[in-house]
Amino acid sequence: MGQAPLSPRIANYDMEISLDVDNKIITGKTILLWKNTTDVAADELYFHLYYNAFRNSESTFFSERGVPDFLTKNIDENCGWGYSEILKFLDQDGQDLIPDAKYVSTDDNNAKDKTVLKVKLSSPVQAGEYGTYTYEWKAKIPQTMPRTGYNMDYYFFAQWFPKLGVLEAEGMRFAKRAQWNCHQYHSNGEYYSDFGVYNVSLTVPIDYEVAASGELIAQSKSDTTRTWTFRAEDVIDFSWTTSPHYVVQEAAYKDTRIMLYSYPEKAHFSERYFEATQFAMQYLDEHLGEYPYSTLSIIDPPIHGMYTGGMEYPTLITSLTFNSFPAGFKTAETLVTHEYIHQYFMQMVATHEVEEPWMDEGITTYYENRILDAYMGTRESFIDFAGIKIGSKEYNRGEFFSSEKVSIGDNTLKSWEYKNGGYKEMAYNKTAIWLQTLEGMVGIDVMDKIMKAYFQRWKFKHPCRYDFIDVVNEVIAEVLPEEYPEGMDWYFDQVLYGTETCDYAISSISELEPSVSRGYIANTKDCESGDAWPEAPINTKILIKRNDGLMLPIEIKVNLENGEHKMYKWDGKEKVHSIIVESDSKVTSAEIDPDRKIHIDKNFINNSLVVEQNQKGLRGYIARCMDTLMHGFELMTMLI
Amino acid sequence: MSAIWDYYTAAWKCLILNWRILFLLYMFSLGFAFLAIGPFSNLMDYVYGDSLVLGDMTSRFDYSAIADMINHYGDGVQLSISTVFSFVVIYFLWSVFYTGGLIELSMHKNTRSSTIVFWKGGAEYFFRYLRLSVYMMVIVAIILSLIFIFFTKDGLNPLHLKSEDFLIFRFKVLVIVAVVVFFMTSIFRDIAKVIIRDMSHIPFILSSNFKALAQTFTWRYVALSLTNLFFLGLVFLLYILLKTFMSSTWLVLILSQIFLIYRLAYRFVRLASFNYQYRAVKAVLPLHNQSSPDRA
Repeated sequence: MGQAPLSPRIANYDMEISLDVDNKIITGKTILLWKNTTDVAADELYFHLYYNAFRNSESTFFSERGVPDFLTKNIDENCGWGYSEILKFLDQDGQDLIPDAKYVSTDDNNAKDKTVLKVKLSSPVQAGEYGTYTYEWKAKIPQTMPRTGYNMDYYFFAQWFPKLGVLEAEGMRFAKRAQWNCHQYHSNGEYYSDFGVYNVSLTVPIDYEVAASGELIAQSKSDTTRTWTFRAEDVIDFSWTTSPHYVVQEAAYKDTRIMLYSYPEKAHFSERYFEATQFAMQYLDEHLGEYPYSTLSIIDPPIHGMYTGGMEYPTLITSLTFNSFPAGFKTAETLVTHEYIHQYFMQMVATHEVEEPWMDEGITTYYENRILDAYMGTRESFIDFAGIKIGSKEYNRGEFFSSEKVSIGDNTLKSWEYKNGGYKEMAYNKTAIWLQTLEGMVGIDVMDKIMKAYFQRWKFKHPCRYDFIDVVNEVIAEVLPEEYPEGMDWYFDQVLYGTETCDYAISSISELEPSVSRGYIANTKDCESGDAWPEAPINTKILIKRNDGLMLPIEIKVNLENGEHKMYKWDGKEKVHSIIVESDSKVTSAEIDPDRKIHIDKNFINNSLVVEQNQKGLRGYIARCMDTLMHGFELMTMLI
Repeated sequence: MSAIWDYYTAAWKCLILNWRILFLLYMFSLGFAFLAIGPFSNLMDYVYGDSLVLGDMTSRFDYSAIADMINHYGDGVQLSISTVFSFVVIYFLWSVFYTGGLIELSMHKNTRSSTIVFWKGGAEYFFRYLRLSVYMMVIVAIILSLIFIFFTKDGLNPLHLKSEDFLIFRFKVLVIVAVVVFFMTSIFRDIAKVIIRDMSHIPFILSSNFKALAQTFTWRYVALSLTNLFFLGLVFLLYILLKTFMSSTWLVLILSQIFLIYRLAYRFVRLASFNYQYRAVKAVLPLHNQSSPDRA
């Protein structure tokens, strides 16, 4: 606590929060200390009132997502809707600005959406100056919605308090002039906020345990309540949870306390959580940079709070486990690793999840695959159950290419622009696949250098895609200038801005007729056809096809009968390409991308071609299938 | 207890004498599986036959290879699955048929019967066993539905669950209940198979059928069923144990086929031992003597 600032600390909140569990209401008093970092005066403030997404079915959030059944059934008996209201908003002069405040629709012209509030300032905040505002507010807590809400006596608060948008300076990200960036609350994507310091006092019933972002710095209690005070520095958000049932367990990585909050029936997952988290912490520590916070809280919600699971908040993450799942389902490890990576990508490297979801979820998924494969093996890091073994990386690829939305849009779409689906496929899966492919092309060491440079340069800042591409090009220019003299823009043009898919295939392998001398050979009397050249090499033509639009440089491995192999390179641009292999030994097979570097190739099966089929292996496989089928027949008829 | 053991061993003796029927059943099973797997085999040959992916595919569970096949050759996969399901129906009818054959064979205790006895039994009793099988399917469906209703009686909406542990507990209890119910059902089913073999007319009224079953039932059938299951379990454990020591795929395959033959044998032995128990108690119809005209 009280360390030298790691971030610009632009939006700082002191909050006193009280939870009324009987009426499902939170009341808050917030003192906001905000710095105008632009070079123009600010005469208005924009606030997110996220809980108004749950005010009614007319909100943008529900129009995008659809209304869950429990909000429409028995609504008179149990109203699960929520809202957020600022009751009083005082500026530095003590003037209440609420009468002139109004809700605005910044994205979709939905006048009924009340998730963004514009507050007109009576006295502008000058460039480089601070403004201090005190506001009182209350919120009705919705019944468990995606990410937030209550159910029974479990409470999770995410996107829960009136929170300032970001005033972007000219030249920052895509801003051509100073502008507020404050999107409505959409179904997908949450984050974009300024860094700051949060001092938050949470008053809850005395028997309730609390977990929150940051570090617990004080506790006090009355007869019926207990107040927990937390301080979180250099973070973009603050979230918390409370319940009387939490069991708290603790581990550590270096100087960071790792705390697990779970319900008693799920406390036995602690070892899996802690080991996976410690591995992920060490991995990112070594590959990107250190985790600078003193705490990390892991929340494993109860089953009735499952909609709040699998989320990331500064120094606090939620996972989700089920006692009914076999240990071979690596849900605990997968979720805790994924959400921890978000501490780097979206929390420290504070990209805009709503405008550029791939920079948040995609990069996180890429590292999730890497870390889980390194932790539990490339073939079983996702599932290892009953002989079915699936690695995290391969699951991600399989999930993407099994989707019908592989080409639904490019990676630059904003989160709410995926109107016909495809958000997950594009933001998570595709990005991870093309980052994996980039790693394959440039090598893992160069990739690590790129990602480390990106993290170190942009931590505690707000980069956009241009900044990421710039880092890639700079590192490539430095370490691989000959391989990629024009940088990597051509790559991003295809994978980030394009929608084409990639499929290379070996089309044929054919041995050419031996070279034979023809014409006037011995003398000029007879035109003749001579014998094959003694010692003439065997020429084999290998035909390679590019079936789809995406073009990447590829390697081709040609295997020879004598056990040797030859490697060839092709820029991958023509539709059809041929290689003539000259060798003393016959070609037995050819394979595109033998090391599976081009992860984005949608069909690995046609990447190789053999001259003679391996019938033995196939027969064995079919025999095993037949055996299983015969046992299945018997099993099926046992009951009748 | 010794009577039960006598029925059990007598059933085995009968099976050993009629090993050719067991071979026939095995060959039919093999034949059906061969035909059912045909389209899948062709698909595999077409998809992987020329690819180096085949090596990975046949040596382990290769998710990427499977996912790529489903994504790019989905129609072939669909056809393969449909074919297998078609043969499930055919195998079901065949199992109804051979049940009659096995019952008839078991009537010829200590006798090496002609295969004609088997075919005759299968043909003669086919429709009554088919009807029984349909009843059984309905009964199994009802039992499963009841179990499902019990499992979900408080709803499965996670938002309404305090903890999933009580669901897990309920599931475990219901599994035990299901095992016991299916165990008892299978006993009544096999008694029914033995009874209806003798009936020239089977009343359609279900209640009278149940009455006949109830009158026939004794706890000896339970002991007999447990004896059969005990040895099946024993052989299964032996199979699992041996499997762990085998590294060769083909040896494992051969072992698995031997176990399959045992499972087919189990079917006969169970039915035959029930038949002997039934006839010993009821003496409804005498078993054929050893000089049966059907003898080959």
